[in-house]
Amino acid sequence: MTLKDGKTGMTLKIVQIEESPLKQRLMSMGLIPGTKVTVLRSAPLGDPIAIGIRSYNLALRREDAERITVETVG
Amino acid sequence: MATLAVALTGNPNTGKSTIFNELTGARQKIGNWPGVTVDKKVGYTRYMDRAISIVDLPGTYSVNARSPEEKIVIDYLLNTKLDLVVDVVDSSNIERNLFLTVQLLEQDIPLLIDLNMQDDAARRGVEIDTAKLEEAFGMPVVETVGRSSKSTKKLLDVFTSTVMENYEPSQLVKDHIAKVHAIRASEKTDAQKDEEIIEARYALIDKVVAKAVTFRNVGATRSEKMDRFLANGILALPIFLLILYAVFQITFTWIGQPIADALEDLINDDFLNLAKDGLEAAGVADWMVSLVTDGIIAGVGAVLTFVPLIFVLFFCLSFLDGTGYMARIAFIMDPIMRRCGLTGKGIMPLMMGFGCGVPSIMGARALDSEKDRMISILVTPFLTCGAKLPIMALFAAMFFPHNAANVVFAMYIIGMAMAIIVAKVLGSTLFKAKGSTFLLELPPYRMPDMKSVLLETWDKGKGYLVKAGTIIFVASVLLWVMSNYNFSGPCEIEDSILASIGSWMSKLFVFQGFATWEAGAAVLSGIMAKETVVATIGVLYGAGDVSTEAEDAADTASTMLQTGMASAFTSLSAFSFMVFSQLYTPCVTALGTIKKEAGGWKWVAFSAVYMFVIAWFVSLVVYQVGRALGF
Amino acid sequence: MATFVVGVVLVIALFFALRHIYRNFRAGREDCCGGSCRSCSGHCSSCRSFTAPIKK
Repeated sequence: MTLKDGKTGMTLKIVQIEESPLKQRLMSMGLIPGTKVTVLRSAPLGDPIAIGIRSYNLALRREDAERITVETVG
Repeated sequence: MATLAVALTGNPNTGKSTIFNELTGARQKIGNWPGVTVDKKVGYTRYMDRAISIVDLPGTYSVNARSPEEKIVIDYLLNTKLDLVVDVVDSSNIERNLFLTVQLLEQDIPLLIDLNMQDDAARRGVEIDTAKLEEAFGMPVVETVGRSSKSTKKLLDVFTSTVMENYEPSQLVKDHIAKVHAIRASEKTDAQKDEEIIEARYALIDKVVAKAVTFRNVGATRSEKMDRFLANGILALPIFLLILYAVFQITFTWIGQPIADALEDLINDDFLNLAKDGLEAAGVADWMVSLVTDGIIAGVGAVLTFVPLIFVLFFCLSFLDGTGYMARIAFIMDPIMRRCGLTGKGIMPLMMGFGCGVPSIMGARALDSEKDRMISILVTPFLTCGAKLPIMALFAAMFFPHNAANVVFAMYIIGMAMAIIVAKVLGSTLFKAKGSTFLLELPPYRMPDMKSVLLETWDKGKGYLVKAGTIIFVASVLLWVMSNYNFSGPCEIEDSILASIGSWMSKLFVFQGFATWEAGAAVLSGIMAKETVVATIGVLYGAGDVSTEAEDAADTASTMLQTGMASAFTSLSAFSFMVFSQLYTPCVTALGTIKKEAGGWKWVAFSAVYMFVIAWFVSLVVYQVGRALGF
Repeated sequence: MATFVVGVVLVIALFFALRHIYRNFRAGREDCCGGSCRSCSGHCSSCRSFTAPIKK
């Protein structure tokens, strides 16, 4: 599954980030394979979404979240 | 002994500036970094008989030299002989903050970690063992809590001591640096190398954090709870409008306006009469008395009257910004902005446009794509900047005395709506590049530091005082001369130079309901600086003639109605004039900034013309529809 | 006489005002906000993007 499919409240683990110009930026923000993220909430009309990662909150769009493969944790 | 050279670095939002202000007090110099408009702040202090100079570097998340700020930071750190670099870290967000720390460590810079806002971190369940952190990195760590003299003393103690010599990078750091070198030397593509290095950095951070930081589960934090209302789902939008509306009520009804009214009494009644009587008693010629009272005091005074409104509005906006709510506005507006081909982040420079279009046009640089930036530059001037505020406040108080705040709010909304509509049109015609991305940190809500908010309000507001004393002053003298003379000498105001220019201009506004030469002259002068519109009206309609037995805005307005302005405008044509002023050609300074930022006279001409045309059409529609509806 | 004194004061004031405007113009400076980030609505955080913009 991808981060886009994550429902509010879910905790997920990043498996891989698709190649794109955005990849390095996402990585420097701490989205590294193996890192846990929590889906927090979404803006009006469901997009963008806010996630909790490495003790801070980050907002990103669903189309970018789709490039991030994740798996559910425990 | 030589001056100790210290530099402060860190992520944005870490309280770095507060620490800088606390360390150096008022002894700072603000200049520009060569070639870019990013503030360079240098401060000086003296401690234990050592002179210390401190540079406040721009806040950055990393130093990849991809933005002007990042380039400044890394160039400065690598090319300057520094005794010490302080990396200010937001303790509650230590993992991401350490990314910059690790990047700096790789450069072999004399580094010191300043763990700031630890109280905040503790509340959020983040506990950091300072000794273990020192050991893990092999460098000194100092704890500070924002603004306190104890914190500064701790830092200064380290600056002047020789403790730095007692530290050397830990094995962990040495291994990491070796690994980074190995990756750089390997035969991979640059992108692959960069990615591997980023992973290595976070691997190091994970190890350090595992040693020195414990995370307690404290449940939902206060920010989390607030975001459930302020940044969640469809409800967040009306709440945003409500907050904005409250800001306008505070400015135009509750706090700002009463002060402005009192000031108006003071200037237009007490001071004006005092000056008039004084000058006449001293035997000054009539024309000079008129120049000083009807020209300068009326013109400059008309603008000064609104300075309290500007300060109150700036205070509210600075306060809101300090809380971290601006990032939420970007978040909840993104769905709307994206449908216009923009990004939610674009709302932040736009909100700055409420202060002044100029920094807002420059702020557009922070946007991620060229398309976002250009569109943002071109639509920002539609917003109600602080200089347009007096126009709105004056007309609203005069023609809509019982609904002033609502009418002004409507103008702000018209400006914003126009900016968004035009962005949409530009996005689907001139700039068709692919849509942009949206990545934004949502920082925790904080109670803003009042000293910083007040300082910021003053910084922004004082510009209007300076302008009143310079450009508005000159304009008032010019306007007085032009309205009292023509080429054959002194004359009645109807035959003056200003009247002939104004009446030529006013022919354009026949369908808008304000085809008077006074309005024409005001519109024309407004291109110089928007406050001049109010100064012109002050000079021409003699704001000074208003007898001020009036006790509040409504009374002032009704007394003002007896002056010439009443016959010149109806409520409807006043409204249409407000709409026109809201939207038409930006002031020369804004145009100059557009030239610098958009690159070329082409865009200046484009902005000047298309905004005038749009303003002309919209005010026409407002007037004609209003008339058809029987207003 | 009084007219002359007031006139001189005005001319001096005008000189300083014009000099200020000219210097601003030459330095490309702007009074509202001084063009700095601290004085635009907020600290740099509010007008800076998360990380460096992608350069094409």
